[in-house]
Amino acid sequence: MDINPAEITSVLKREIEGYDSKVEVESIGTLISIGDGVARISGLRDCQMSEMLDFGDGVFGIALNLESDTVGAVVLGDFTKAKEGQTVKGTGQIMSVPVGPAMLGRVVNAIGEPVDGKGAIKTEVSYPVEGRAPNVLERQPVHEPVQTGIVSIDAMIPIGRGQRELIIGDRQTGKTAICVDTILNQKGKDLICIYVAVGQKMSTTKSVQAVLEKHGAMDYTIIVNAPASESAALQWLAPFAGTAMGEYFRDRGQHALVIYDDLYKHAMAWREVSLLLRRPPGREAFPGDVFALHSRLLERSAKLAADAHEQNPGQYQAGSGSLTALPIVEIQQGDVTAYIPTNVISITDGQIYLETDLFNSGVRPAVNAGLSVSRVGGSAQIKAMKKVAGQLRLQMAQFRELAAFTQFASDLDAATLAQLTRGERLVEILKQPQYEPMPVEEQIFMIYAGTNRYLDDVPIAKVKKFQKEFLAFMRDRYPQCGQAILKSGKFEGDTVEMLKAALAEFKKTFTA
Amino acid sequence: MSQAAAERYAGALFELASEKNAVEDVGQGLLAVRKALQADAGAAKTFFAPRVPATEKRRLADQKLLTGVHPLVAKLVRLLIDRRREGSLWSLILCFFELKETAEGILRLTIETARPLDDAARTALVAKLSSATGKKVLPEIVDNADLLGGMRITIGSTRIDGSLKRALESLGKRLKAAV
Repeated sequence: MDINPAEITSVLKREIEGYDSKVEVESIGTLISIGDGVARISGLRDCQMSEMLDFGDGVFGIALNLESDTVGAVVLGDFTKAKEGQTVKGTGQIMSVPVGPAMLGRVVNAIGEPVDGKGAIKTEVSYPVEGRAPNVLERQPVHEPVQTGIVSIDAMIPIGRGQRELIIGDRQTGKTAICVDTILNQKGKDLICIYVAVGQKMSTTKSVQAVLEKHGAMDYTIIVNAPASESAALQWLAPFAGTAMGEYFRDRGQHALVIYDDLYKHAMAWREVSLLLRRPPGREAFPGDVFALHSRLLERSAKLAADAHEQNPGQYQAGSGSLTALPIVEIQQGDVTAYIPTNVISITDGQIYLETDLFNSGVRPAVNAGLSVSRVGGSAQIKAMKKVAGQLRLQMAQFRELAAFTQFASDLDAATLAQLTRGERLVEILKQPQYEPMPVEEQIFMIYAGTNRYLDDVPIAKVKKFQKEFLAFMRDRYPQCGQAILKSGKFEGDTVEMLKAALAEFKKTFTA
Repeated sequence: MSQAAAERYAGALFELASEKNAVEDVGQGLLAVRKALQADAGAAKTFFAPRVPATEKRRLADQKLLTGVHPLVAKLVRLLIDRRREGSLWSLILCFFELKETAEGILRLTIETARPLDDAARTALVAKLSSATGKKVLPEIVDNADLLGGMRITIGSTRIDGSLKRALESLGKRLKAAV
């Protein structure tokens, strides 16, 4: 840290001038026992729930169990220096983390301290980690889209601002990849992203950071890192800290997206903390409040009402901000009926189900469109997308049904064959390489082309070539078509005719 | 037995003793029982051993512990034996005396000073604390050179810190935050 002697002198001058020998009244307790990151303290009579406790040497803890004669607390940080019998001070402050625009572009730990070696973060505001969720009156239905840039999601499982959409799948099915692509697609838009890594390998988080930096996405992103090597208490705290950072933007009329990677590891961290605090275990040894743990976390994601700032001027500013949540849950062997997955499925407004078989057969992102749903996002799609996506969803459903029935059939009638042909091409359109999010107008072009038989005569292996060249053709020759969709949000009249003409013109020149 | 249970037994005993105007006698009785147990290691071993039957413990108590004590104390000890809660006798006695001191308006506190206080300063300090709290203050005065200057008073789980050490620490924090 650079120290400027002139600054120190000016601070000292202020201190000397304003020196007043005030006494400080503190609430204190005695450390009875400490181990595995959990401490028991006697005394601390006026301790509040979630109060920060000072263990000295810059180590803090959070009070979680308030009993008649002792306080149970989790220690955040290195507790090896703590000694039995030492004094623990109550700070009178509820656990909070620094928030604000200064956090953007930084990697921080679960208590908001920078861990990226880029120096201190100067913020003036801090938010409690256990914030209050907006009430019914302060909310409004989700109606604006979060464009992920992933065709299969934006078209069939749309996500709206303020929605909680679960991303669920086995290991190595591309769950994190979807989130990273979503972050990359926000470049130049007004959505601030927060990526919370819970119990992940440090190398995984580092590679996510590297990808974001490479694509210039760290400018609008905060990474909250609580890797597997950190204590369970910090892993438990990290999603709450990330949410608090998102709430800052939500409350100021801005839009934020928070990604929890992943909530199964979060539940495991909370199980560890709860068992160490001697709370009774329930199913799979998870504590009884593991459902409440995730619901109170995810309830804080919301789309604020236009008049929320009038109802609660102390908290909200004008602009009806939003906080969108993309929790990830890893499952084993495709079992979505396990305890934590069913909990989070029931809390969220839909889920994107990623399948190992699809992933291995080359369908990436491996989204299973049949099992994935978005309960509120449909109303958040732009009209243009809604118009073409309806056909896509219908044709894909018919294709899946036919594909299952005709697996062993040898001779098929022409209509069935045509549907299968189109379905196979639609699957090709929905395949998308990583780190290449697609703008919404281009998604509309391709879905329109696929669902309206323009690709039926293109060999499956050449669909991606068609897509690449056609989209380049549209950007070059018909930029006004895409602009019209973006400007009006609609896809009708002249715009449709223009696209039809463009498709006809391109098909003449395209050689498979 | 938990501390909470000891507090409840002590609270009940104190209320009964207050109703019968016998707080002092009951307190003396409890001290006599403690003294008898501390003086006779064999009796204490038998009294606290979980495998010894209650009848034998009651006989021991009647013969060696409860002679001349207030009837309430005798009844309490027999009740503890019957309920298998004799293990909490020490905590119960402590809780009883804490309740007694609270009722008498006695406040125990610890005063830490950077330099030893002379008698006049001690008396003045205790008088000032007594008038400020409205209670009879029983201080434990400790010299603690670590404080550098000033003093620190601890009452239960509340600490009033007017030491130079604390002032310097908070100055350090403000400097770190400002630079």
